[in-house]
Amino acid sequence: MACGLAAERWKGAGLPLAIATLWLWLTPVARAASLSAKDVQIIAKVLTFLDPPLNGGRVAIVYAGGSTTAKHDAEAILTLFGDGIKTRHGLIIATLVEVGMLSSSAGYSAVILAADTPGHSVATTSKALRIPCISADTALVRQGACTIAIRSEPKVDITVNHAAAEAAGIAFAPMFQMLIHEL
Amino acid sequence: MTVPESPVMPLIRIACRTKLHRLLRLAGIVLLLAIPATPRAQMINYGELEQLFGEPVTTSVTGKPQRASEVPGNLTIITQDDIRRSGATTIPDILQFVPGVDVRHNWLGDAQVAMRGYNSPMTPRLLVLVNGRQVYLDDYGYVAWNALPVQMSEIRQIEVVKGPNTALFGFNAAAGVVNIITTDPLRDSINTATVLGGTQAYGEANIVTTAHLGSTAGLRVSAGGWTANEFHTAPANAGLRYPRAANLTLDARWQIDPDLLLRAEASLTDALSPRVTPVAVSINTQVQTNSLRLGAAATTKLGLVDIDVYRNAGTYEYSNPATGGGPARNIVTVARLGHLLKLGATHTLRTSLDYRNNSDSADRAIGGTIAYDDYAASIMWDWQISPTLSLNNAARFDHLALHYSGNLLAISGRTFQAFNATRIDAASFNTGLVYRLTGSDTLRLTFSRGLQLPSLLDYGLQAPVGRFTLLGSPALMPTVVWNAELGLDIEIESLASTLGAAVFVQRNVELLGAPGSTAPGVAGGVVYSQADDIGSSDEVGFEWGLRGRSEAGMRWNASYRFASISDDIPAAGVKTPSATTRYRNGTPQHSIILGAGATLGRFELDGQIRWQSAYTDYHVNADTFAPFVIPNNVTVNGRVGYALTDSITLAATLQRYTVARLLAPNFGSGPQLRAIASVTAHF
Repeated sequence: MACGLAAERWKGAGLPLAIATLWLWLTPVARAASLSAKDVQIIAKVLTFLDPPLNGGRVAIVYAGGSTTAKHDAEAILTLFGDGIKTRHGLIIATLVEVGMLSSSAGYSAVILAADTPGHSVATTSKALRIPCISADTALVRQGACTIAIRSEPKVDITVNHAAAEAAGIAFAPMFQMLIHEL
Repeated sequence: MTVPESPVMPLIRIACRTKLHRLLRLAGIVLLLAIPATPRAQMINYGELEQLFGEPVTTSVTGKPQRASEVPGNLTIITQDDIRRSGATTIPDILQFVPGVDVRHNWLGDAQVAMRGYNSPMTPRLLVLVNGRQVYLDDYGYVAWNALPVQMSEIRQIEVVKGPNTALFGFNAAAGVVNIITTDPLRDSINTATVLGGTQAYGEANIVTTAHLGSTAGLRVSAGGWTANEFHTAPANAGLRYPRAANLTLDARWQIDPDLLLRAEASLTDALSPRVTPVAVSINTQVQTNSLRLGAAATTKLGLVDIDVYRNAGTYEYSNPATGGGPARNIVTVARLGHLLKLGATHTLRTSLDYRNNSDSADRAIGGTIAYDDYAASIMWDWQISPTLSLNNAARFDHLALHYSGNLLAISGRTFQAFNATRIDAASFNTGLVYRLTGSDTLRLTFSRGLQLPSLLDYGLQAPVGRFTLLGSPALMPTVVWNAELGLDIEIESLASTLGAAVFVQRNVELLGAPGSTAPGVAGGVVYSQADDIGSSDEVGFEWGLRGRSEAGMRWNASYRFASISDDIPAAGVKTPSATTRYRNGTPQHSIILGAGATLGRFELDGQIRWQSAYTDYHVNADTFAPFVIPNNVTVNGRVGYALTDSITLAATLQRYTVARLLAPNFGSGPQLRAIASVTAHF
């Protein structure tokens, strides 16, 4: 009896539910960011193991202007930074930067690459600015398009492209350097 | 972050106002000038690196900082949380729940800890360190666990490495290494005081406090003491004294600049306890030690450089209630220069030069002074062959020169020349291949050659004891321990657990027979038993352990260990079978450990239970050793903790041991219970 009542109540709700599901699926905001909250915390800590360490400052979350996926991923990462992440050396604040604007921007201590953003376009700029490029995509780091890859699951894994870091003049605290994977 | 002022701050302020401050600054400038290049970084920061990687980091396996899950060796790390939740008052009480570790309890202040069997009274096969400083006593080569200058609450982690690691740490890392890492006085702020009381009239108080001078200098001071009656009621009648211990430690670090760190440590201990000797006799022992250590760590353009110099001095009184005893004076001086460098993306190189002078003086037991100088050079090469495969090789070469001065007993047949011409040149190595099966699973294959140096008494003892005269021998060679091992660590997501498994084979060559355990000889009408290389022994074993936790605050562990030993020790070389000449019977073949715990609001409830199969121990009976069986037995440890406030914790711990009773006339073993209540204040 109760089951019949419930079935009656939901009768005719099929189409709106299907539309809502499709909308949620198509809306990028509903998707998870390429970086998790834990990844972002790790990025902030990694920056304190640069040599010299980052004593607080701004990091640029770079996205491809023509990609909705990139834009929404960047926004999701920015949300994870909130009002900034406090480290032992200071507060790290994130800002959204469209990839084309990066070369004319100044004052950033690191670049975080959003999903669906071409790494090579950022590689040249980050190298020129002598700041690390950080991504969730290890393949980009392997290609040398980005300097540091971060992954926190199932275990924390930090991969650095040694040549890319050296070319950009980026150095790490020696003890930290011995605990990461360098390519 | 604001660091609360500690009671030690006034002392530091006084030091700053006085000439001491100027002198320290001058010393710093001198050291700065001594470093050949511009310093650019600093030494390992355990806390921050553990927080970053989500697991403890260690240098105890290769000398290079590594994540616990990536080391080329069999490593277990016991964290401060584990220590607190155990409620244990001694380190052996914690180690007995590590798979593959064997602990024998003889007296309340006398426990023998061994790795993978081969346990015996005053076992010399284990190297124990506090922050890399050796704390085993060189006369017998054993660890007086009751005399360690460390409080449980100041330990960051205990690193347990199973298998030989002589290539990194030198002699006596033959069966394994226990490295006790304390909190960093510069970066951590530990301020606790604990009062404990319990059965056996147990009473203990300890305090740990840390003071910081800005963000560049820190000092940790710890002190504690305990007293108790014994497990058995008879020792006082047998002339044995009840145990007690007290110690004081100072640990200071000064970051001269971001790139150069100075370190100074000092400790004092005084510990009294009945103890069982290698010849299975219970005696009174009083161990008084002091240590002083100075070190510096810097990063130069040529890599990380560290200098470590320390001196351990001890006065040991071993007194047999029946035959008496006498004091011995042991001094160990160690100097070490280390260098660590990462070459390119995939190679890390560590080199080290070590010097060690070790002497033991005792009129009654040695008739003078036995000593040696040891010079060693070591190298470690770590190669990350691919993102999933790494190879680690370490090798060390030791050159040792023995010295003796004093009055040689005529019956020994030895001459000064026999001692002073003794030279030992010995090599050791460790090789390890680590393959990352997935992001969280690893496979390890290791092969190593470790060395157990004869103790100073194995070399120089010449003591009439009863009808026998016990003699050392300068002709002894180190025991060589070969070990091959295949290990696997995998994450089991469905159980929220990590499974570790290892299968190993071990070969021990030129096993040392302690004076008193070897076949007697007669010279000039005197019966003697002289230290000798008595044979070899092989072991195969298997261990697995599961360890997990849930986000709801539950934790659990389960493990099983199997060990099978086969001795090849000719009967003609030993007096009668004893604990130091029959390892097969003396090692439990099976042990099972089960544990569970939960944090429920302000309560912490934890329990561990260990079952192990029977083994044989020996006692002295009319100049020979007589066996007695310790049957299958159970060890239990349970604790309930309650956080009364954010700064006060109440706890109750219940322990059940199986204690071997090596005291005439009622030899044997039996269960002993301990109950301990404690109040801890964090300030």
